Amino acid sequence: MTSPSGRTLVVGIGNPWRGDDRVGLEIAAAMRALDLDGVDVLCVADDLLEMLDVWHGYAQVVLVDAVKSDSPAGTVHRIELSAGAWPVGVDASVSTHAVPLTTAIELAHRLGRLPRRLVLIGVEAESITTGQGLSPAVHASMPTAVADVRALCSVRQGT
Amino acid sequence: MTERRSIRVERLARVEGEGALELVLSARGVEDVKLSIFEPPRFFEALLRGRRYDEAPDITARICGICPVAYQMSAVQAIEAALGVRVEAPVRALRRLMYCGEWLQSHALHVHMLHAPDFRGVHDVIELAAIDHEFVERGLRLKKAGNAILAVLGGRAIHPINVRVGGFHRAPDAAQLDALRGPLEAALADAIATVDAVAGFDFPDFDVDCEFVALRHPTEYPLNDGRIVSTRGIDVPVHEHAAWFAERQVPHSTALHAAVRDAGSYQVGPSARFSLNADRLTPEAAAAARRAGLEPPVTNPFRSIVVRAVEMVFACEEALAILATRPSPTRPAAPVLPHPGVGHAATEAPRGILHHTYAIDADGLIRSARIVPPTAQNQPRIEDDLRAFVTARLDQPDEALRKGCEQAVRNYDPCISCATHFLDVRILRR
Repeated sequence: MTSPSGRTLVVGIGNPWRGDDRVGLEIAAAMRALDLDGVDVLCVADDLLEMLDVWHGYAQVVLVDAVKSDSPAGTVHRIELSAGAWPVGVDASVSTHAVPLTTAIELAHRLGRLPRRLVLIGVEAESITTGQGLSPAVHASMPTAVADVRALCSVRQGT
Repeated sequence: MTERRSIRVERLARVEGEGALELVLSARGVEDVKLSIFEPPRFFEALLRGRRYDEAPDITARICGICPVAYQMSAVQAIEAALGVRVEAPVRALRRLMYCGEWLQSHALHVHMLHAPDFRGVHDVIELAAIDHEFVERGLRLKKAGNAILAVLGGRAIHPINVRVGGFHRAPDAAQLDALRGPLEAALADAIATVDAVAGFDFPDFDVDCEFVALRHPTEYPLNDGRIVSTRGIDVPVHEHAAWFAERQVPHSTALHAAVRDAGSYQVGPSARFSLNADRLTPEAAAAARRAGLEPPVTNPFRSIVVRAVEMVFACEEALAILATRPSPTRPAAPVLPHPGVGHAATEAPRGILHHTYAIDADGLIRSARIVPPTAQNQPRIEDDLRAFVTARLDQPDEALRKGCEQAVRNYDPCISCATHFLDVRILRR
């Protein structure tokens, strides 16, 4: 990889020790295994401010994280964040991240550090209590979520 | 004022962890101040019992995502003291370099993102970025420089995994160390600019007379070791810590409260370190402190933000000085042979002294562990500050008092998760 320009970055976000919060990391691992041309994959467990640097120069960034809204567990949400705005009713700060994802993205927006296209694939969490395993509903949603990320990656980004 | 009133902050923002603050005010003055820490205790000291001595650095690192290096350093040094392990000078230098990285990360976050919004009259860092883009960008750059050090020495920027009893699992090579110099030179200029910026903030008119406690080393600004000293005459080796400082339980907090035996609350952290060690600062840090008008002792707790900025200058200079010597250990770690022993260590975490004690048995298993984190030590001091701060401002409306109290708590950059052992502010007027 010479320049990220024109490439897509997939960022899996989550705490591997907090139940469904690890789903973002699991989806990122699945994307890494696919080894798609033009796609880089990264996992962030703690310091979400780090994203403001690592996504610099990418045409498109796909964030994958657990979210909480009123939908059934395992629902896969696709949320366009390029405007730096959050839809009402979705709380992406349910996890244990020290700086919530919402703060990191709003700050990036204020500082002019948002990538041209930023999309969140959010998987509705059932439980983020201490423990390693995904809930059955979230586990069952993995193929849909991976397919959604993959579909986003297949759209060629202009440079 | 005739009515009793209460001021509450149900959940304090811009601190690490979960806590609340409640003040009860009446015609007689401030009746009660409670800094409640309701984050559940995590029983780390108990779960260390029966584990192998070499597991302590990685287990205790998990106490805090902001200062894992401090936990690792206090843990390895206490165990090395128990087992009579001597580390070679380049290993010590690399540990000190790593600690500089953590100070940069932690102070950059607190100064630019958590505390500065109070002084600039904005709600949070997002609003701050709208009025002072460069200040926030500078904070991100400084934090990134700290991350870079941690990535080289610790194996990754958060929750480092390369520290072990006796040294490191793997020592960095010269090329990795050399690559840190450019970013740190830029960070030094950024840190100096931040000292100059925060020195111009408006500080509330407030001074306290308290005992400062910090480490003191014969030649260095304190990081990894030194004697425990205070502004009221304590000067003891770290293994005498328990003889001089006591911890007690209070009903409103899952964190223990610490006090100087037969005396009272005391303060650890940047203002304490500077007040006791200003003569040990590196040249640019000392010059920046002078320009900022800082003199020991720092009696206005609100000026701690300036001290943190000065300590960022120190961390950059110290890191660059260490890098110039290109520390190259003959082996990454000294050999360790477990045997029964008791060891103590204290290091200067970003928020102040972090004291660890371990007793190890013949099989190398930990028989007992005692961890005294900085926020548990500062908690009674924070309550004392709040009582004095509010007493002088009883005529102010609740909202102004609530804001002032939250800012006063943030003077200490409390890490409630570490202390769980934090924050909601309540003011009750009766």
